[in-house]
Amino acid sequence: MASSQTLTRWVWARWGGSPQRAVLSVVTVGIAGAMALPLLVTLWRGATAGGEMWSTLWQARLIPLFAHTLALAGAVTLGALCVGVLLAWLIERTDLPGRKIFGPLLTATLVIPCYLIAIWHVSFWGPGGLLARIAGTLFGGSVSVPTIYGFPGAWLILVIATYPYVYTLARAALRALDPQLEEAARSLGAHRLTVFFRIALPLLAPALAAGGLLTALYVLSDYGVVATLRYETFTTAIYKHLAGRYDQAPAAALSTVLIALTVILLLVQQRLWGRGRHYYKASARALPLVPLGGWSRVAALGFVGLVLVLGLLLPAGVSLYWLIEGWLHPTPSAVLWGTSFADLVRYAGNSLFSAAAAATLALALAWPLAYRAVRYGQHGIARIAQAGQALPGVLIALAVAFVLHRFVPVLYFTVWALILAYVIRFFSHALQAAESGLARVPVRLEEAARSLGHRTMSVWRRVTLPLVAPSLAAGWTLIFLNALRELPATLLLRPPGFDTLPVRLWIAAGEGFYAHAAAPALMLIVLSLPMLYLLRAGDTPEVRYGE
Amino acid sequence: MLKKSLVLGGIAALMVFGAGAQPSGELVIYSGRSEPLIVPVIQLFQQQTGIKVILQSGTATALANLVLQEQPNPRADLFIANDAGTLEFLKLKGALQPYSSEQIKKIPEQFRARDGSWLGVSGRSRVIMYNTKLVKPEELPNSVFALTDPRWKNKIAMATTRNESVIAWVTALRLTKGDAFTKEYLLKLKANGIVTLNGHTDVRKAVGRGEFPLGLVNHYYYHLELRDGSPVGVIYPDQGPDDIGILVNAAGAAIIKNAKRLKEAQLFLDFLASPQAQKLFAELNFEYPLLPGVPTAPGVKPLAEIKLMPVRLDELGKELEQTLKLLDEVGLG
Repeated sequence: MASSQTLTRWVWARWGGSPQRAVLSVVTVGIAGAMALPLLVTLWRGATAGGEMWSTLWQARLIPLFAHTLALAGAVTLGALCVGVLLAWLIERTDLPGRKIFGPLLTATLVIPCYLIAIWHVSFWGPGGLLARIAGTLFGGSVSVPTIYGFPGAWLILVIATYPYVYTLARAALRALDPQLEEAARSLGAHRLTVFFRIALPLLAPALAAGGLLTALYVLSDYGVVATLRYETFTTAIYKHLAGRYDQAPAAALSTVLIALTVILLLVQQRLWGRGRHYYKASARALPLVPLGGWSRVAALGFVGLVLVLGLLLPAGVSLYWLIEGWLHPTPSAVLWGTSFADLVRYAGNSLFSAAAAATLALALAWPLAYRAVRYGQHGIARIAQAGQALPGVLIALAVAFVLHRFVPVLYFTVWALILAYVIRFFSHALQAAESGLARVPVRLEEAARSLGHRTMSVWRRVTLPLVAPSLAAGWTLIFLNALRELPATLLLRPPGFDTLPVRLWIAAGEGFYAHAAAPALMLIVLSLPMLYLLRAGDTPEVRYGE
Repeated sequence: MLKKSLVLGGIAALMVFGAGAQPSGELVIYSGRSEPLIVPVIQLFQQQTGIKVILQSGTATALANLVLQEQPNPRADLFIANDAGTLEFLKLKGALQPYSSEQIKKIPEQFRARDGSWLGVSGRSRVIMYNTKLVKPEELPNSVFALTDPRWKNKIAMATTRNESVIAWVTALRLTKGDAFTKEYLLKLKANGIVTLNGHTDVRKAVGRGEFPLGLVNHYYYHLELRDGSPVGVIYPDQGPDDIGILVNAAGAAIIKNAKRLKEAQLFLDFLASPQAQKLFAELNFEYPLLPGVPTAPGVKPLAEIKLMPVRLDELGKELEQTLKLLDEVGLG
């Protein structure tokens, strides 16, 4: 009796304390449960799949899939680390000409969704692509380009798409380095390289580890790039299973394996994130710049130029080319399949509506969780609610469709299923935004306002909102932009007649009608331009799982 | 408290707005056919009847799965498939609504479901297309079984084994040559480095560009690539007296059981069997029109001149799941 009373008291103290807090707790648990449901459902379906199916999978699929996926994730991470750190060092620590302009430009590749980068690179380098055509017209002969399909192409495109994660974090870390440490080491006679390896690198390590993990996580979840470049990983295998088989158990089983991989990385990431080395920067001075000599200056400029061409100029240029080409020389097949401008506007409208609804809903749902986490220091449930980030878009779509179809058929195959999938996928962004916003509002400030006679609404409007607004706006934009370009979940969940820009350009490019893909692609890029503002706003740690 | 109710109100408002944005009252079609091959036909139907069509394109199997899942309250009224096997499979699962009419009866019986559950609309044969700049005429294989020759290592493209035309072809092989033989043959193709691409359009363009000398496709993909100006040729394999012949499959359509717009769906099926639609399939897509009296497009080899595999189309549906199992064991991407 006494123990049950203690228990009740403990539960009340932890979850309630006041009626409002109890309600808040219940609401939070409900939201977190809904956000974590897809993960649980997928794991459960994988676990209940039959043993025979596992053995078939094991024999025919699993080992090559593991090898392919891990090889790509490892190689891309390594590549992104090298490119990202080198660029960050060139921009922050050398006298590279034009580095004030290059600095922000190097993150601008994030504006172009990476499946678009992949599609345009294929249409450029691929067999019979633009390059071959240009060579044919200029020299009359043919050039032999090593094939872009398969591992090398997928590696190149993913490195171009993901180096900004490393670059952003490495730049911030470089800027935070204390010059006195290096000067002290140098004055004690250490060689430049020794200084780099023993002082700079250990200080940069947390940023590098974080950037590398983001990259690896991204590679695990990517669908568009590997599908375009004909490289099979877990996501494409799962997608093909969903698209081409009646029995969905193998897809669920493959999903379980992929989730296990992702969760391991996420756990490592949380460990590392918590363990970031904090030290006191004694000097406000910037580090002295390393002068680049003649040739190294040329090489550095060439490298920066190459990255910008591959990540920014080539994709933008090729999409413009296809737009004009399709307009001037339409092929017979393309004419028959025409898309009107009105259609295009409708696709854009669909994209904007679903992305905006998802961003708004995500923030609204994240608010109570963030409130509870920040004001009462209870972070556990908020962490559960981020389960969606362990799921690639393909899996979220699968799970959402499964759950809605069984339990909420009214929502099944409506726009709301799609929006729900976006919310779950990007809920961690919403939580981060709401939490960081709330953390800026000291409770004392609200209490002070109240003691001066302001009512709840007035306090909210005049104190809380102005302080929270910037974080919420940034979070909203980030979710909006990510949802705007989301591809795999949209392909699987869009209701009939509800096509978005990414879906249209994906179908057109899949049929090889690049001219048809150009208009929605350019529209998507233009709508993504606000991303530049977000990136410019500084080293936003929120820029994480951008897809 | 007010804050929370504001949020809730906002969500409710969004819900209502979203519900309003739902399309209603139009004929909803799930189509597993490549979009450029079906959109012109649908546009003509909309022009002629004034009925608005909402088209959801995807892979036929994924959409067939949806059709099954959504029973008994389907979202779509019609299902268009690139393969008779998928249609028969849905019929066996009881997800289709039989329909017949004077116009539909004009389509030969072997291209329709016996109970009128589905209607074959256009025919296609499985051929090998090649790039004329990369393969000399004397080197050409005359049988699909010659493709396991080391000479073609890494030189053949085909559509993924998730593609329904490929699945139907494998079923036909199983029915004529047996399971063990078929599995071994596919494993040999895999060992010979055959590349599976996302779809047949990918294959035809890859062969047209010269990325692969050979490609396994439906016959009209060869004609489409030729029309787009590429140096390609075609082989009708296995035509000798002792050879197995070629599979001729039908793309078709069916009304989904409990369809909400039954009348319009029936109109659409009649339209597909009409001379105008049949002409579009023949002239734009180079498929075989199935309505007698509508000519094949110039340059397309008439069905009567081809040795066919002795496989009935409804068997493709009965054997579907068994074929999928075999394909999973082969693991050919």
